Amino acid sequence: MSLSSAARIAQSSLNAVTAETSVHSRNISGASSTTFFSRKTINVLAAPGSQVLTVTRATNLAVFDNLLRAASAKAREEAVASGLDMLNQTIGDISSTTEAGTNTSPAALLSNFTNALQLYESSPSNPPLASAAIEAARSLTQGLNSASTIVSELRQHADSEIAASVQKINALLAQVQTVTREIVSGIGAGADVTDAQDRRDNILIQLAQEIGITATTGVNGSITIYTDGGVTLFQGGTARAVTFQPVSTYTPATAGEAVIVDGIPVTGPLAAMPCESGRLAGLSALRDHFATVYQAQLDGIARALIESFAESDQLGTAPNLPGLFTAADMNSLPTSSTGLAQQLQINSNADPQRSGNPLLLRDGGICGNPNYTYNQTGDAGYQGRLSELLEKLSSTQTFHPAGEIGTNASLSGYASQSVSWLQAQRSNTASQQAYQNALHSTASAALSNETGVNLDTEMSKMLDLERSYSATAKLIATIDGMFATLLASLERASA
Amino acid sequence: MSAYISTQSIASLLRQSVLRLQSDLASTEKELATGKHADIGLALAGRAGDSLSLQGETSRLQAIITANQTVSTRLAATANILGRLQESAQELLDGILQGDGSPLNASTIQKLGETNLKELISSLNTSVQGEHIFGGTNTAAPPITDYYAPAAANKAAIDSAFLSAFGFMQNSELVADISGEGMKTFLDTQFSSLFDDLSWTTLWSSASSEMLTSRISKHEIIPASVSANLPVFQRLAEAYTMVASLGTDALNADAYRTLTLKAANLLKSAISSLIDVQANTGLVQSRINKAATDMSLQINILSMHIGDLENVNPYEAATRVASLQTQIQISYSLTSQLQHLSLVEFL
Repeated sequence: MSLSSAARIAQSSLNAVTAETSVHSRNISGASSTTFFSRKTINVLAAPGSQVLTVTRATNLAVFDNLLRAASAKAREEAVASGLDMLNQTIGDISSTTEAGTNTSPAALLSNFTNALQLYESSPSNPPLASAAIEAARSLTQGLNSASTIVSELRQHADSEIAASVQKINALLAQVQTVTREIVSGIGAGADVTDAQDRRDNILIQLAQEIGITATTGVNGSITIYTDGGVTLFQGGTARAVTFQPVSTYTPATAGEAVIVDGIPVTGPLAAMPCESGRLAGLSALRDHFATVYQAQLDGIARALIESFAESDQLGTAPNLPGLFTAADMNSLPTSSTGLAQQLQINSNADPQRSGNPLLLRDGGICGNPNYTYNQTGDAGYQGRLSELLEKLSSTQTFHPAGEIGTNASLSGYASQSVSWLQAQRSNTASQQAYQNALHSTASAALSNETGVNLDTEMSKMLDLERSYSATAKLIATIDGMFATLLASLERASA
Repeated sequence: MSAYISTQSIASLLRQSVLRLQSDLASTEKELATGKHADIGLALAGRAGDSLSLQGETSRLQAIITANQTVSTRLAATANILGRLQESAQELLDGILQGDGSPLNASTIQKLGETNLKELISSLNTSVQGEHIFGGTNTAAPPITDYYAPAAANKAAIDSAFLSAFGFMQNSELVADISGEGMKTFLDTQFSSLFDDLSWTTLWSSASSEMLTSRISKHEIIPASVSANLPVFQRLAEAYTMVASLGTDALNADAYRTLTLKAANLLKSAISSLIDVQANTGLVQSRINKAATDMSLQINILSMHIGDLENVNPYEAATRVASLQTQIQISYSLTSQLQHLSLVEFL
């Protein structure tokens, strides 16, 4: 061993310490990063005269996959929950002590109308009570109209959110493509690709929030991404196209388009490989399921109202005609209930605001044909028709199964079941959301613990490095002193 | 459990738990303030509709009770009028019986008949809150044609029947010549046919025989009015008209006796029918009152159910607020302590 070889070793040790210090400072700067950052470690293979530095990052694929799944599930429940909260606007406050007028549910409006009708039945010769009943009917129709509008708006909103989500998915996939190219070529060249890998993981986390994914990475740094339904999103270094045709205006009859990945529909009733989680799944469940079912319930209520108040021909056998509740240009009883909640209105013949006669509610003949008048004698105290209407309101009717809350119920029973249905969905989603939130935070914490940075560890390692740096420096100084001594004695010998 | 913990996870754990605690605190405080679930729909979930149904039921019963108050007013007025009619009929009957067929106080009896007829007409034409309570379902118009109004159809019909039977008017002096037999025939045939159902509804009454009804529960409807078309009113009108309008004070003793006997018989049967009608009215009134009591009880029970669904236990809510506050305080102090717990502080 010569002094010069000792000096070389001391120098390479200095280099190693500097390289390690740089990695630790990277870790320290990344410790408080809000995005995903993995702990880096450096391996120094020091051989006398040469050294190889390789940087690796802490990973745990299973925990990372868990986080992706949790992020997708959480995003789905969040999308559904916010949509259901919007539907909840149609209900208002259902507490029994609320001020009149804040409980805007069809069930409450129906109950108000029934009560108004009940009061009018008790003194049919009292015209103000007729007007009051008509006004209650108007509130009911307006309530159903606005509820139906809210449902259409919700579907419209979900549709444009789906479009935005699809756009984001495509942008993220394009980023994956760029980063993957960087990683693959970096690994080939033996460069440090850990930062690029972190970047790709971050993109995957964002992607998982939009659409449920599973990802597998190859040894060369390539990646393959599938949707949770099994459709390919990214393979062989290229992103597959995700397409969607947004619809600009929604009516109750609008169906809405499906999201297509790689030519295969992944949302909607025709999806053979539907995507199960992610915001996209939540939004399409809202648009295609929750909103349409609620719409069907509202339409069912509207249709039952039209049919309960239909008038029959008192003198002949002509078909029944819509009475108090009707829709614009409705000349016969409806054959389909689609969109009725949107169109429902009170008949202008009984509407005092459109110069109609509210007393027709008692007498019949609201449809405009005198043959349909029940009160043939014109008695002011005629109660027969009103009693019949009240009976019809509480009798069992048949509803379309699309409402998903049974097909046989009284009108008021159906309306309150509709409220139950919505609140059950909300409660269900809220507990799912709480569960998925908990899972997500557990998964994030697990991942952070597996791959994250502990500042104290990094600091203490820095202290070690500081020590080893000063030891090396001391060593160099000593070697320097030894050389100086050697040289001085050589000079003396030659002198 | 890994032995390694990242700095970020220590910090975010506390941050998340403080967030959750704060949102819990907000909703619990609302529960404490209102005594009800913060979000009733969310809390009741599938039972939210039940609460609405119960509320609807309660307000429906309340509406029925309110509506029946109007009906009670109507029935009370009806009962009052029936009582008065019975008294005046009895008064006339007493007068007739006291006279024992003697025409001495004939003019008093005739005056009394006239007063009673006027009272009957005005009573049956009574309106309560704009409804003619004896009109059946035809509440808009006064049901009985006023006998003393100019050109009244019922008076004209009686006058012409009298004229065609005897050949002179009731105010003629020839009235004294009508025999008892003649009077009896007239009263039993022409006169009485003017008070049968058909003549009654054409000459006297525009009331509907269909009665006003009252709902005493959600599905039970009972008739709750008295129509001017009841036979009892026909008999009263017949007796009063007989006494008031056939020249009673000028009749001879025989005809007078025939007339008053006939009137007394009519009055007797009318009075007993009136008592029946009054009893029936009272029965309806008591059924309505009982229904109101039942429905009030039902409302109480329903309100209790609604309370069960909506209300939270205030003590529990208060305890929860207290424990949440403690937890949040602990989180705060932990956060600040952890901030100092870093190696950097000791270097």
